[in-house]
Amino acid sequence: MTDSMTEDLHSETGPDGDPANAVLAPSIRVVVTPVEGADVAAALASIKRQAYDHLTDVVVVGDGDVDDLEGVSVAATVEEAISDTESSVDYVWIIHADARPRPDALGALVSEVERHEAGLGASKLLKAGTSDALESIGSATDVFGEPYSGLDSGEVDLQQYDVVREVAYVDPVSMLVRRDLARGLGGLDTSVPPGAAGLDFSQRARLAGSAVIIVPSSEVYHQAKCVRPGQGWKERAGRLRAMLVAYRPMTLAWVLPVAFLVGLLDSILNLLLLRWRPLASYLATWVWNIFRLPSTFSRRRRANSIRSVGDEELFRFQTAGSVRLRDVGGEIAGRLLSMFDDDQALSQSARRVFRSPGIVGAVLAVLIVLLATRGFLFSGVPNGNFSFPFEPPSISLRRFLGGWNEAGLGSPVPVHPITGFSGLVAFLWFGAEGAARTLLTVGFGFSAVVGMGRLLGRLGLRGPGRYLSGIVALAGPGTALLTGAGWWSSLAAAAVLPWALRSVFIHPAEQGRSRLGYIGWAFALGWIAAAISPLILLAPVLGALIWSAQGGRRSKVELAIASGLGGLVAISFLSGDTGWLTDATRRTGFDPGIVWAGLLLVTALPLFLDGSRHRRIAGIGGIFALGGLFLTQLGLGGPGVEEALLVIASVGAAILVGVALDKFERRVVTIIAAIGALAILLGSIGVIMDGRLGLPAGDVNEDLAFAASLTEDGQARRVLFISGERERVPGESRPGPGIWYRVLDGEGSTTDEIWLPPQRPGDRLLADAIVDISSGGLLRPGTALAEFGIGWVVSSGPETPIDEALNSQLDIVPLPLDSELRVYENPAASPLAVSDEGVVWTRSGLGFEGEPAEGSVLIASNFTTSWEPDGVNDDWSIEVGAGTGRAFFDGHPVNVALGYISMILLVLAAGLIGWGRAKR
Amino acid sequence: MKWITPFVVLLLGVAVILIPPPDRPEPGIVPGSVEPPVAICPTIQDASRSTNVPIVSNIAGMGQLTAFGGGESVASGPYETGSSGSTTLAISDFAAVGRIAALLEFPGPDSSAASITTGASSLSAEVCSRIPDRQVVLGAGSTIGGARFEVQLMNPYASEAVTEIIAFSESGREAADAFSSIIVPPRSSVIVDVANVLPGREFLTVVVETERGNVVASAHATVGTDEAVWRAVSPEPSWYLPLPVFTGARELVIATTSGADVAYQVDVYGPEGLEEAAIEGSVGNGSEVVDLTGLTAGALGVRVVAEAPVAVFARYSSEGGLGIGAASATAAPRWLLPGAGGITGRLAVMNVGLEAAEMTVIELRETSRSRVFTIQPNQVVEVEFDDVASDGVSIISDGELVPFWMGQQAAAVAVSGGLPIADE
Repeated sequence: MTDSMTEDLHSETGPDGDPANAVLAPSIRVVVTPVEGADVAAALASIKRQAYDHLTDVVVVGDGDVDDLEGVSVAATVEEAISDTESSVDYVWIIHADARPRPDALGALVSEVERHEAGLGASKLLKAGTSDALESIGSATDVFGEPYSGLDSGEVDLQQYDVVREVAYVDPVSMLVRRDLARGLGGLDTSVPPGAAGLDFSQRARLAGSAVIIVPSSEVYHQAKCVRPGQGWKERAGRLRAMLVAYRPMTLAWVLPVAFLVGLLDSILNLLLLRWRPLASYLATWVWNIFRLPSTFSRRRRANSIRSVGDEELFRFQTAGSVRLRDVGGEIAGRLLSMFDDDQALSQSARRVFRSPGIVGAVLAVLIVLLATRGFLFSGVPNGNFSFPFEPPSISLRRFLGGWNEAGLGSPVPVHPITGFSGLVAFLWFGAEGAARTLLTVGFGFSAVVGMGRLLGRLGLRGPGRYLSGIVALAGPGTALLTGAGWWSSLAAAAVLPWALRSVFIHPAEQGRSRLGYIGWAFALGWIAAAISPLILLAPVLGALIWSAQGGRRSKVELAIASGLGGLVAISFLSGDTGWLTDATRRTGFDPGIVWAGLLLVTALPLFLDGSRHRRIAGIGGIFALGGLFLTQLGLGGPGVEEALLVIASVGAAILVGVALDKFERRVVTIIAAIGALAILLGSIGVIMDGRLGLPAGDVNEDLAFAASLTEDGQARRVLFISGERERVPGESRPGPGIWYRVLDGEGSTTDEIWLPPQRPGDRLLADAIVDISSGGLLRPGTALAEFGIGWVVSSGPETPIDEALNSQLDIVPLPLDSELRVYENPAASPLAVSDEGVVWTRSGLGFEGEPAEGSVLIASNFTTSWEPDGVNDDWSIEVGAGTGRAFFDGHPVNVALGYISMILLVLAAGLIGWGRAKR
Repeated sequence: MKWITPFVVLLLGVAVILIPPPDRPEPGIVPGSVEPPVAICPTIQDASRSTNVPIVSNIAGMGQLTAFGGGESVASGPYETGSSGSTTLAISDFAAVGRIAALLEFPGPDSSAASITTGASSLSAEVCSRIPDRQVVLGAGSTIGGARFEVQLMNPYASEAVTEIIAFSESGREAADAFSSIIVPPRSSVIVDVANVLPGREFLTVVVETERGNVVASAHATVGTDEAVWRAVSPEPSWYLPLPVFTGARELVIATTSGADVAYQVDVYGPEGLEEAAIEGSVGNGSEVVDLTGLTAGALGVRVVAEAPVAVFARYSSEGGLGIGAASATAAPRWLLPGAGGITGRLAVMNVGLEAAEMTVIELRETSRSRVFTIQPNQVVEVEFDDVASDGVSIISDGELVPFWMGQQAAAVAVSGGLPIADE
């Protein structure tokens, strides 16, 4: 070690050698912090070589043997070294003993700090012993203090980052601090490792109103002897402590719980990677901080005494989301991809992809959907309520194309168009209707997530909320009620509506592309939406109008019209069963509750107050969500209106959530909106975490399987299902005396039978018979029900007047076939189709067939003139000729034509989509 | 437009919070309970006894009798009430199969039937029950001195029934496994031999509680050569019972549904008019027997008022004769008394109203006979039946009356009440 440091360090000339300029050059005191195993003498030598003349003195912290060196003193702590600094000194250069600065490092540091009027500047760190591998160039952090430098491992310094800039945090290896600031800050936190100490120091410096900058032209080689193996948990603990010291209470109120959850999730994901240390580290972090709370509060008080700006100043330099989750997500994806990706090309891409908040949101949403649909994969889609299995595609498509409606006691009124949609899906899935339904239902979850992401992306959002909002579409304020009551179609509607909405918007970047392709998409998606829930088709049109009314230019009227034309698929159903739209007595009577409305207001209003650039999107979301709930509360319209309003409300809520969680801006209004959105999101996640997307469990066809298995002539009789509680009756039910009831197919109910067509004479006679039975006045109710082909009466839930009456009658036999349902057999029930000679005809497609014979066949279904051959009215039922051995329904030509036209248009739309893609 | 959208959103949100949700659709109104026009009768058909089922109705029409037992319909056949609205069916015409039960389907709601069983030296009569109740009481039983006492549980319906029997004797509540969870299969009747389970009891009251399904209960007692059949009734706080003249003992049996003491008061309608609280006492251990023999040799009536619901039965006994019948809990201007007048005997009618009543007594048969009587308030009138056998008696009056009849055949005796017809 040299013994002439004082002379060199106390030069009185300026950097240019001109004594006249000496007053302009800041004077620097050097504080060398000890590092175990580091050569202090070598560090002092490198300091001596600095091409900067205004060093006042050097202080070595600790008990280093430097007494014999001139101009070098010793201090017990960094804080002591700082407090002893004379007022004539301008800056304190705090440098680790394992750091080796280039000769121009200090000069560059001083020059840039002065030029940028920063309070704290730090050097670029290069790894000692490497070919200029970068170690630190300062970095951003996330809100939890996790650093995010953007450096790849082993990245070499090619001066690619050589720009002076403000950063969230600098390494304390080589820091130049203004003396007054240093005195106020009181040195580094010695209880935590250097990284965390640097974060703490940087944050406190910024809160004191100083700029914190990185000076890449100041290069320091770092031997990294200060980095101790196994101290990772303490780094994390230090970061948490830095948060506790720096953030204001309001920030801590939300940051701490989120940090807790993020840490937990990170630990769990690491366990999937067979790493237990992060979990241990996570636990140790919190425990350590709990024990250190008194000293943390003490440091916090000191930091507050010099605070001059709010937390917003810290937020400015923080990255969105969680760096940890992003890293571990990227790693998991990388590992999965590496199974097919030997050269790691995809894995590297995946890591980069995971730096996008939108993708992180998408991955989270997809994971949630995977968990939320697990039950379907293991035990299939529940059957019951408003969720029935598909029919074989050949039958359901024929039924959709003007075929006989078999719901209840039968009707010529066309079936709900979801029958055609389900038939189409089953047909495309090679006729395997069961598998098609399961896959379709699982697909709804993903479709909602991706659809919302794509919709909001088209409207300009890029953050994590746009995909996560898909969860709200699936299980938000409206759909949660519907799926809870077993409305399978509401899941489908929530999955399709975002896409249908998207189809009427065009992103500016996509303007001018194939117009016909867009029209094809709009029509096809409108067709599917209308097939699932006809009235949700209003949403794309309304969305386009609201967007335009707010001055937006992305919505296209012609696309809205094309989407609306998709409604053609539902015309015959809606015209045949107007009550589905207008009859309020057929509604379920859902009550959305005021909690959802409150949360939606909390989420929506700040988005407008914020002057957000996404206020138009929030406008659509707010009007959809609260308008949907408002109109639901009015109780107008039939079940179709009710379903559509609730689904639209959920998609509206999803839009609001997407906007509120799009970008984390540290303003009170956006924080409030984000809190509201998080509450809606968490509420929605809770709804679907049963593994069935919120659908009630059960299989009514399995429960009623006895109707088919106990038949003696091969033809299952109908089931009269009754309950005092409407939600227990599968599908739509009708009000009876103190009960809800409906007739179910004894061979198992299918999607086409969910909705009951308008009452016809047979239905009215049955209603009268049920009233008579419930009064207790019928001694032989079985005889009264026999003509309707009702072979079974099944009662669910609390006892009803019918149950009471069935205890005092002579011809309906109770059977202990189910532990929960009360099952009564009616041995007198007529077959659904029987000839004059008593020969039972069996079902064949949509009709019946049997041995050709003289005379006629009586079909226990509501009469209409279109039954062949030679259908005539027998009281309320149908009598056809038995001569051909076949009985069938000849659909109304208009309904048949409408069905075919809508199918052909769908095919044409698919052609347009294909053509548009090819052109692109 | 900048502030219109948020304003609309705010308005909608406030409206959602303030507007109450729509009413949930409710199911339809439950219609008033309609009692099917049926009755369930205990029947016997064996070598020594045969049951006849007299049917009386206020309309002429078709009905059906279905004898059931062992889980099936043993026999079934239609019948027709003649121009008098009455007929008598012999169970032997339907089924010769011992002790079973029969379901009578009437041509109209104002109809009633009785079970009249005659043997060489026995006679019993009782109105058939119409509505099964959850809890019914059978009092006036006894198993002392070798007397037989059986309870018949009849279930004509398609559903199984489960009942519980609670018995009280002078010893208090009797415990017996045989009385618990008695399953009465569909279309069956179960006979519980109480004497076998509880022999040597002087006073027995049986409470039948139906836990599931529906059951009609009746009792069957044998003392010496005579038999009595009487139906179970639901407990009520007050009862009426006119008592025709009888040379043997006339007793009142007051039965309760628990062993707890229940105070009662008997008002007597005697030759001197109404004497309120002529007898007072307390029912303990399930039943209390009140001997009325000493009050008067003529016809009399009683009203029993108790502080808790009780059941009241008339017990007529003599050397070789036993008749037991349930009292009536209601008074009415019109009555049907199936079986009355089919056997030699007499009818007692008491006027419990405040006005004098004009009463027409019609003995129903192919050529019915009508007689008109005037009954003063609180008076009991006795009417001798015609020598010509009738299917039953119809009473039409303008006052609140209660009838009860007695038939005798040699030493055997039978008593029964009737069916009150509600005002239209």
